[in-house]
Order: sequence, then C-alpha cells, then structure tokens
Amino acid sequence: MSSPLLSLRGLECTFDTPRGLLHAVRGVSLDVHAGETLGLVGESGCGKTTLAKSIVGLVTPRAGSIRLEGRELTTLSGTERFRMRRAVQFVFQDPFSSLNPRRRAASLIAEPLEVHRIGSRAERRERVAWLMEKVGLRPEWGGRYPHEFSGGQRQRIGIARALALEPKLIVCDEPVSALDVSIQAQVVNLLARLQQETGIAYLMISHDLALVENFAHRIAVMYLGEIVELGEAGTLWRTPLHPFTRALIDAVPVPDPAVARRPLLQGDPPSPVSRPAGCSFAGRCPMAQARCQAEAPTLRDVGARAVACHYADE
Amino acid sequence: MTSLLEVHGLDVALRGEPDRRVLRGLSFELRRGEILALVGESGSGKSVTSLAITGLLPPALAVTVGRVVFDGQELTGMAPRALRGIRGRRIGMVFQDPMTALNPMFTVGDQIGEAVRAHEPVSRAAARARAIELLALVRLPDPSHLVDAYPARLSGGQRQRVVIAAAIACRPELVIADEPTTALDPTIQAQIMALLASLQAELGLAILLITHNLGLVAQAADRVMVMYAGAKVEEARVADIFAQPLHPYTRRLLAATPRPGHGHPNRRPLEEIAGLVPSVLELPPGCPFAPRCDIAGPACTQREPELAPYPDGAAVACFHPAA
Repeated sequence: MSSPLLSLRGLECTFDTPRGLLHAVRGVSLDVHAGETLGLVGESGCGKTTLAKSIVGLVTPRAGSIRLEGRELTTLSGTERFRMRRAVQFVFQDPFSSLNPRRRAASLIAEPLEVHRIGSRAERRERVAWLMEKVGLRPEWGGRYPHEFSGGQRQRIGIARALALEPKLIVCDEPVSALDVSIQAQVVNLLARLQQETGIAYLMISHDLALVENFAHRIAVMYLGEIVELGEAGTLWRTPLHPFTRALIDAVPVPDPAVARRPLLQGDPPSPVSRPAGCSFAGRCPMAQARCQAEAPTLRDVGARAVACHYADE
Repeated sequence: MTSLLEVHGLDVALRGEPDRRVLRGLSFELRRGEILALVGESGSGKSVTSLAITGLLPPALAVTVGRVVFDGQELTGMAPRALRGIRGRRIGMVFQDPMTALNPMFTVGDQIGEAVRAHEPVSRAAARARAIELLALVRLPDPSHLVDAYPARLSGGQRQRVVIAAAIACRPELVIADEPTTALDPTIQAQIMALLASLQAELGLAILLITHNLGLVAQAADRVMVMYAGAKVEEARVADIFAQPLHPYTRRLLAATPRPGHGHPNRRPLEEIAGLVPSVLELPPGCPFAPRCDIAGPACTQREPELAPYPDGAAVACFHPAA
C-alpha cells in the first residue's frame, strides 16, 4: 500500500489527576490511509477520544509521533502547525452544543474559511452555498440559527464546517450517537458519499460496533489506552481474535429475535490510573491463564490482523 | 395471563390547550410477567406515556382524556397520596441516567432503605438488611460493604444496578424502565439487560421497556408497540414484527438499523428514512408518517388511518400495510 496519510507511532497521552497519573493512551501506533475509514471502538474511558483529540491538536501528547503525509506534527512551530491543521478536521458528537447558538448557519460554515483567510467575501459566500448543498442543506437556510435546525441538520452543518477547508482526514467522534435511528442512516450515508466523491479519509470513533462494522474499512479495538486488535472490518467481526473484541461483538444487541443471547462479559473496565500488571484485560477475560497475569502481551501480526493476546492463534 | 396495566384512549396535551396533544389516543395492555417494549424516536411520546402512567407528568402537560388502570384500580384522577402508595411500591421505576438518579450525599444503603421505608413500617436496621439482600439480588459484589458506599465510588453500570435494586425494593409487580441502558457502554448494557431479564423471571415482574434500540427489543421483549408522533402505529409479538413488519415506518426503521456482518467489503448503504422526525404539535393532515413514506397514496394525506386489529393481538394503523 502507498505511504499512509496519517501515521501514529508510540503515542502516549497522560493527565495529572488527584488520584495519580492517568495514562489515557499507551504507546499507540496506527496508520490511516488516504480514502480509508478506520473505525476506533472501545468502552468509555479506554482513551479513544483522547487519541482523537491528540491528532487534531486539542491534547498534547507526552511522547510519540504523529505524522501527516510524512510531516511530523508534534514538533511543528505554531504557524506551521496552524497551516497543517487545515488537512485534519473534527466532527463532534453533540450537534446541540458544538455550534455557537448566536451565529447563523452560513456564518458557522464560513468560519473556517475566514480563520484561514481563504477567498474573498463573495467567493466564501459561493463556497458556503456549495457546501450546504453538498451536505443536503438548502442554501437559502443559511440565515437560520442552529436552534432552527433538527439534530440531523445540525450535524450536517458540523460536517459542512469540517469540509470547508478540503481536509484530507476528518476525525469523527461519535458523529451519530446523539441522533434518532432514522436520521443516523442519513448522516452515515452522507459521510460515505462524500468519501466516494472526494477521497477523504475518516477516523471514526464510536462505541457502536454494529455501525462501525457497516461503515469502516478497518477497525481498531482499544482497551485501557492500548490497541488490542486491528484488522479489516468484515473479517474482524466474523473471526475476532482478541477475547475483548469477541466480548464487544457479543454485547451488540442484534435486531433479530432468532439470534440467541450469548455469554456476557463480566465486570467493569479497570481504572486507567491503577492499571493491573500483565495483560490489562486479564481480570475480565474468560480464557486468562497464569501467563496473562504476569506478562503483558504486545501487539503482533497474526495473519492479516494485529492482535495483543498471548493466545490469539490458538 | 391477566392484564396488570391497561391504558384506554389516553390523550396528553399541553395544560389548558387540549387540542395541542403530545399523546394521541393511546391504548394498550400489559400482562403480568410480560416484557412489553415501547419503541419510538424522539418526540414519539414514549416517555410521556411512562410519566402519564405514573402520574409524574411535568406541570406543562396534563392527561385530558382516557384512563390508566393498574390491577383493576384507576390511576388517572387518583389522589396524589393514594398514587404515591402505588408508585414505588407496586410500580417501580428505572430511568435513563444512573448518574443523576441517585443522590450523591447519601449512601447506597440509605437510598435503597428509603425506598423500603417509604412504603413499609420497618426499622432502620431491617431496611439496611433488606438493602444488602437487594444488592446481592442485583448481583453487585460484596453487598455488606457496598451498602455504605456513596454513589461517586460506583461505575455507571453499578449505579444502574443500585437504581434497579431500589426499584424492586418493595417487590413491585410492574417495573417501568425508560431507556435503562442508553447511557451505558455496550458491554454494560448487555449486563443490565440480562439482569432485568433474570429478575423478570425470578420475581415474575412485568416490565414496560421504553427504548429506541431495536436490537434490545429483539433480545429482551415479548411484545412490542411502535409509536410515531404521539400515537401507536403498530403492535405485535416480537418474533412477528421482526419477521414481518406491517407498518412502513416499522419496516423502514428496521432497514435503517445497522445489521452487523454486512460490512466492508460487502458494504451497502444503510436504508434511509427521508425527511425529519415531525414535531407532534405541528402534524400534517392525514397520516403523520405520510410525508416520509414511500408508499403513501392520496388517502394518506386526507385522513389518519385507525388501528386495525390483526391476528395474535397485533394491530397496525396504515392504509397500505404489508402482508
């Protein structure tokens, strides 16, 4: 495959908390290729949102490398970074709180263009109308305020804002989880269509494995700050190799009463402040052995898959 | 099985404006020991239904027409004091967000004990002992220590177990669970649903499960009611509605739900439902789903279809039902 669009190597993010150092992201290495959707799934507190924020510059990593088209982002000076940021945009979860309620839709969508001083006023106006049409909003709605739109329409405004700078990558953090089921499909299909048309890449963060499995080309599964499995979406769903991936799949309520309920994962995720020795999943793992308590598995290739489990190939 | 809860022709409207209805002529019954799922999108009236049954409607809303009958007793119009004797004792409630359902200033034991002491003349010590039993019943580890813990120490899933323990503290016959797992992680959601199902079997509970998640309905419920714009549009046994949905809204909703195992490289676009979820206060004439419906005919924009009965207790409100 060609060289990756985005490349993370050994990324570490930590926070100081009253209870001690919280190690949110632990040595994550990932590639996102041009035109690809990489799904990132895991439970709350696993570090997936911190990882996403570090890519767009909302969190400063403690160590590791973030390369975009081969250029290191973590060591760029302020102005260079500002310019590079155009290539990576963010779509937030909540279309109700992520838009300034006092600005009209057209001005919200034009804002990134203004910040980066792109085009004349007339050109920007034209570009906003084009963007609104692109995401399925009528350009004549540009004078309306966010509260005059539905949740799905607001998320379309958020997507239009993200598209304004023609980014190469959009990081989507739970882009549809605040929306009704009948509207979710509209937004997911919009994202897929935009990808076909423009070759944009997505890093899609979600707790909804069924949705990610439908939408992503590859899926990365995160547990307690680490990638524990990474592979092509369809095969990962059919033959999960890490026991946590299997547990996540088993927890998806399948909309078919003929599908029997399967065994459940017990317990809550351990705290990222006091991480157990050995494999971080061992405490909840139905197949953990003595070795798992003592020795932490590293992410290794098993066929076309990467997996962090001592017993993945058994 | 006899019916435990009956709702007859219930209307809920803005207080003082009986024509501005948010719940429109809802009727259904729930039998003892049964799990009935109430499915709908935002604004469909599903949460208003649960609040109307329990007499907890916000001041801006009022029941204008219809009756709610619980075990032969009419709840609509019942004196608040008498209603409090039923709510919490014979009808338990579990709400969406376990983070706000518990008071952070009181221990877990205090809060479950309070649920007991509100309805039964027991001592503090007996209430505490009962709280420990209940914590074990909802499968929380180490109940005799946990009883003295404050909610902040518990995870989201543990808190929802505590809320469920309080809901079943007085051995209710009915539990109303309004989006009980929506705020939780999928792995924890599965645990909580399994807990509700096992309590239903052990205690013979009836459960009114309010949710937007069709996957949960398929896995947990016996029967399902689909609501749209404040009214019931379809009702059926779970196996039937998933095998053969009759209402076009139900059909499109099922098609729009991502089905795992159809992903890349065999990905097809999800089926969309065009348009917006309507505001129940600004409904078009005719069938409320007509503007979004791909099989709507001339009749659909003229008048609203009534619920027509089908075999096995099913019903559908559509001029062009499948089948």
